[in-house]
Amino acid sequence: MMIISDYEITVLLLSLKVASISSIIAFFPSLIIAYFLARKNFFGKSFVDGLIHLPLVLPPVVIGFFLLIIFGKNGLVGDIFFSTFNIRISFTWIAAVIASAVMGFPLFVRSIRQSISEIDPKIIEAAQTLGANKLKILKKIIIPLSKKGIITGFILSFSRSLGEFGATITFAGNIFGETQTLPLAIYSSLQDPDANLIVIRLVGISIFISLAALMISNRLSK
Amino acid sequence: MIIHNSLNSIIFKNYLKIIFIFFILFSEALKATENTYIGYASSLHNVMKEIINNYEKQSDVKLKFGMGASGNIAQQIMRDAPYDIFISANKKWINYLDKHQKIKERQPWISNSLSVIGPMKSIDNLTLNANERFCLADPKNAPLGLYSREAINALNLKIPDNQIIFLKDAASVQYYLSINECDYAITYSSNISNLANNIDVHNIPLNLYSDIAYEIGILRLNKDTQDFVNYLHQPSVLGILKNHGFIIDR
Repeated sequence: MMIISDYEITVLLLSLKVASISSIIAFFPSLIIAYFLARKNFFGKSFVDGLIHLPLVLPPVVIGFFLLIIFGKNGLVGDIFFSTFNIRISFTWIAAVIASAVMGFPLFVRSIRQSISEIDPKIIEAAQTLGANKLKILKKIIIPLSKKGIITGFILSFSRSLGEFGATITFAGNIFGETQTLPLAIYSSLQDPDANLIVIRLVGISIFISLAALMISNRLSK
Repeated sequence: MIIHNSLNSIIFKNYLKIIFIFFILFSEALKATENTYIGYASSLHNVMKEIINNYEKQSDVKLKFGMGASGNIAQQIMRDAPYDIFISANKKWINYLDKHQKIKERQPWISNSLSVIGPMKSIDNLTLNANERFCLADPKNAPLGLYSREAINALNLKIPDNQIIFLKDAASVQYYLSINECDYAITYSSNISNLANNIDVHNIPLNLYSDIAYEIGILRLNKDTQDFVNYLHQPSVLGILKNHGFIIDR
């Protein structure tokens, strides 16, 4: 009766968990940065812009390496977490979330930025003259009017996370039930001479989910 | 603007020629690959670089090499990777290729031993805190993982599953040890020379795991491959291997 096996369910649920949490985490900073990039001019804007887009163009393994340096047990931030809170970040599902969030971040920023820059500045000016504060403008004008960009960004970052491989395997490892997401499971099964069927099934699941995400995104952003 | 336009028109008018030139260039590049390809177990990483360097100095043969878990390379060969020589860290993956008629000739080579690395006085008082991680090579493809599992069973070590980090091959175990991500690990004794001094290394008695038998498989028999394999058995090469901690006389 079971259409998909326990192994596949574990991998799938973990992938969905990592993808959704990383997209949710990436949302707020993306919104803030997208707002500044779309609305403000400041010194070093093109540098910040470039920095944010780095995960899009750098090899994912390089991102994984940087994350290890920052969040590894002896890393700049990881050391503080480990020695004061006794929390380990690298090689846990949290590491997979961080890797995905970083990789999806530029996609998120790009699409929100696009939507925000399409908002007529006169609406914001009008709200300001009527006495709305920044938070109110954000809540009542910017977020509702850039809904399309936020949804697209969310789906893009979610799908990017479902496909994330290089940064995850470097920074979070390939631990079944903890950090082994769909692409890592496919990679592992590809190494196993007796697992051809599992590979095909996992590839099928992966295509199905990605296609579904894109279709939902198209529907929602209309 | 004018320059820009004229460049565009040159490209546009001659695009067929340009494609043709690229095609010629690439086909030349493809034809020129009369190299010897060697795939080897990742535990040989450092030493093979040295051996291959020395060999290329005395011979005009160009060697190209790839490394990884022995099982990984065997899988690549099954999918028609162009390796001419394959050095595995156990017999299993040579047998696997032999069964699929990929191996023309096989020769036993050297051996190795295992060490446990971690902050303890001796292997007997190895206890893992809840927060500590034990790094092992993935037994699916890395022979190191298989040997480690035998040793763990023989030593009766209790390591909770959720504290094990499986890494893809011996080289990654070494890498993650070197950046302190692993609190404990089992690794080849040949791979510990470049670890920090303050890390405790404990040899595991040889009788607790099966013989770590490196084996050479020749996939394409010709003069180049045979010369190189003969070279691998020479005293000077075996001396280098011994200096790196491999066992020469089994």
